[in-house]
Formats: sequence, structure tokens, C-alpha cells
Amino acid sequence: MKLIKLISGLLLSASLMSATSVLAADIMAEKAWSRAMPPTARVLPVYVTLRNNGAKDVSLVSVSSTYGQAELHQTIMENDMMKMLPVDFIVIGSKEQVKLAPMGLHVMIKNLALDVPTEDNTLPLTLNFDNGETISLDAKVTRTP
Amino acid sequence: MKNSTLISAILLCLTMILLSNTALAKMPILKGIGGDFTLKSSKGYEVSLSDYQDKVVMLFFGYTNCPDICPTTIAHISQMIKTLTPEQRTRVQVLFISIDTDYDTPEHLNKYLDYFDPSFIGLVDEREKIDQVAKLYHAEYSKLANEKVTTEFKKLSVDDEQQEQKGYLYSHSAKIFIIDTQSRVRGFFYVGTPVTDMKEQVISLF
Repeated sequence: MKLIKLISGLLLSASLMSATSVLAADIMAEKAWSRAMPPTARVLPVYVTLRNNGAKDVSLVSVSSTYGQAELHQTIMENDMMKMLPVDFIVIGSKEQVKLAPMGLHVMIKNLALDVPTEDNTLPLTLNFDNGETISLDAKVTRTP
Repeated sequence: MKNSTLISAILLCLTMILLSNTALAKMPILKGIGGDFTLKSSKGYEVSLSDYQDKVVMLFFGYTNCPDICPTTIAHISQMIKTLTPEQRTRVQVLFISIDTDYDTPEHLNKYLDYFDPSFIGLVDEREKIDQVAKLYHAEYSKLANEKVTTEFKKLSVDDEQQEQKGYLYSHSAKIFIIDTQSRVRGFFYVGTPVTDMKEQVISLF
């Protein structure tokens, strides 16, 4: 019993520590939004601006969401053809910013586990970076970003 | 000598300004692209391009399981439509042709487009019929093959999971076709085309 308490205590401190590390982090995420989609939609896009204040390049390697399976994608235009390709990671150069925005890099959520979020609600996301940082945020669901 | 260079430069600038204005004011009639078609529509009845001879048609290809390109294109066109007067709006018809004949149905297109703009009409039909229309508009599409792409920002990995998702990864035309009241293709817009330019050109075709 005591051991369980100890373990819970340790876990709690660990989570608190990780929460602190987010505050002291190199990466900042802002202006997260998801385009409001019809209730029948099977995929959701999410966009966010990432800023790297650190001295080293950092990559966004995965995204998780309670809404479904999140993937990193990029829209590419080649010879007047548009296509969307999965990407393994998105590099944010040191002291640089990368904008995930329509017709470019974006997060796509598929295999939806929850109903399509309605306009003016939020869509929770967790961004995982290769330097160990994680950022949890609520993307604003809107028609007009 | 210096003067003649200066004069040439001024002339060149003037020509460029004139040319760009002409291009904006007058959309050419494009030959060898376009043509009439009849497809099932989201409104429950069959639709032919020739049904819209009193309207300027904005036509584009896409599919509803597309999270980025298609909703962005729809939002962009919708933004332009909102800048028109109610009278002008009655003279424009937006047509969205689905290339995802495996998943999209007229009913599904109806629910999808209704959310963005109920005046938009979605078209989908047998694959062969969609293929014919895509060919007419030089808008061939394909389900994405397992191609590897490597750039600074992306590295595509090919695994089983990706094989599964191929079904909704399509490569398709980025063009928004502008068709005049005589069903002739007059030009193309893209998501990057400023709303004011789109508006001006559409109105010029009324």
C-alpha cells in the first residue's frame, strides 16, 4: 500500500516536472486552429505556428489527439497537381518559426473516435518533439482563422 | 545612349503594365480544354454544364476525405462569393466534381457542401464518367502511388499503415476552372488567387 502511494507520489512529481519543463521549453506553439468541418467529415485538419527559441534544431515527430489518429502531412503542388503526402517529422530550425498552414504542412486527424467538433469549440492536441518536449494545446475550431 | 536605355526601360515597363491589365480585364477563350458533361448531383438530379448557360461556372475537382486542399479551396471560393451582391450571386454557379467515386455519393456530397455553402453543387458518378470529364478538362487524377519524397522538411516512409490510407490520398488538379455563359473555359484560379482578382474576372464574364 505504502509502495503504491510512493509510486503515485513519484509519478505525480514526474508529471509536475514535465509540466515545468514545458514552461522552460525551447518550443512555443501558438495560433492553433482547426477548420470547422461538416458533421459527416472523416478527416480533420489542424494548423499551428511553432517557434524554436533554442540553440538547436528541433523536430516535431508526432501528434496525438483524443479525436483520432493524427498524422503530419504536407500539401505539395507539382505541375498544377495538388497532392498530400505524409511526412515523418517537421524540423523547426534554431531561432526559427514554422507555420503549419492551409495548402502546406498540416496535421491530419483520421479514424475519428469522437464526433466532429463544432465551430467555436476546441480540439485538444499533444505535440511531441524529438528533444523530449511535449506541448498540449487546444486548437480553436473555426471557419475563419 | 543612357537616354535610350532609360526610354527602353520605360517602354518595357509600360508594355508590362498594359499587358497585365489586359490579362486581368479580358480572359481569353481557351481552346482544346473543357466541354459539356452530365453527372449525378448532390441536389438529387442530374446536372449538365450546359444547364448553366446563364451563369459563370467555377468548377474544381476534389474529394470529401481531403482535409486540407478541398476545404481550403471551398473556403476561398466561398469568401469570393460573399463579396458579390445577391444579384451577382445568382449569376455564378460553383461545381465540385468528386474524384473519389469509391466513397463519395450524391447524398454525402450534399451534406458536405451544405455545411460550407448550400449553393455549391457536388457532382459524382461512375468512375468512367468522372474519368471522361477529368480528361476533357486535362485534370487527370490518381490515387497516390507509394512514392518516396525527401526534402528538408519531409521524409516519406512507406509502411503497411500507409498502404491502407492510400485510398484517400489522391493527387488531383489544383485549378479552379472559370467557365463562361457559353460553356467555354476562360481561365483558371488557384487558392492563391486574390479574392478581388477572382471577383473582377468573374464579373467581367457576366
